[in-house]
Amino acid sequence: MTIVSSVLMLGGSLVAVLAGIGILRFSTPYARFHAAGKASPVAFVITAIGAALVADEGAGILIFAAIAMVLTLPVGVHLLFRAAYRTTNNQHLIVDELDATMYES
Amino acid sequence: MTRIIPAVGMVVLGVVAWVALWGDWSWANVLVGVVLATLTLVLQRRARSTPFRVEPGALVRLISIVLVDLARSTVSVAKEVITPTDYTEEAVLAIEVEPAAMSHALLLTVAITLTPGTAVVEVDPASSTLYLHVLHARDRDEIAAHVHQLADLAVAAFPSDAPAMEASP
Repeated sequence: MTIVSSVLMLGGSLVAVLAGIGILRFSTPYARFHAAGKASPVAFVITAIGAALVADEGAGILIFAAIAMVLTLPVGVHLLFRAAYRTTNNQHLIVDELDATMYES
Repeated sequence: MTRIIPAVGMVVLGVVAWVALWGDWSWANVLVGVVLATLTLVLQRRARSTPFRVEPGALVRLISIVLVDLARSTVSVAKEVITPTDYTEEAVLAIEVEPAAMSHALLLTVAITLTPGTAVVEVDPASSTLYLHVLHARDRDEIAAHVHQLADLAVAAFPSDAPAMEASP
């Protein structure tokens, strides 16, 4: 059990490190949100499962925190995308089907 | 009468959540949990305007698809990070869904944002269109098909007896 939990916690850390590198390496705000917003809940869930396997107490709290994270983080990521879209010029997008339609009126 | 059984289930879920969060199984905790869960349920029943049902089969399928998506999106982001070449072609695409799916816009937003390479930028309830930011514009048909699958499952998992939400400005 200790081995399984160690592997899970190390794997979660690895995903978090990759997400961090992604935030530095990607050049546009949107790509950075993708890196931060997708990998971090996964990193948290994997690490939490690993920790819950060996925790004497608090395993329930870890599981609830993981569920809450997965359910709420996408909403925050969506708001970041929305805010970024409204405040940047979006020159790098190769297709932009929102530009022409929604903000005309 | 059919409303009693889901209500009891909700209270039991609430009590389990409450006890798990305290991390300590004592009668005082259970008792306070029952009171709080019942109170929450009563307040929720009063506030809710549109009744809805839950289809467990469709919900389980929706959750499993989202979990697989989460794993896949982590792999794809990791691949994009590790490989030196930048394969991204960023775009904002307009994808229309059925009007019925708009009453599940929050659920859809969560599911789509967890899908590899896509995120919701804007939602237009009037034309039931989702505007997605995608990392790989060349996969457009695949992304649209996936969004439609998620939308159908969201509607199937929570069949709404009320008409779809009216557009708000």
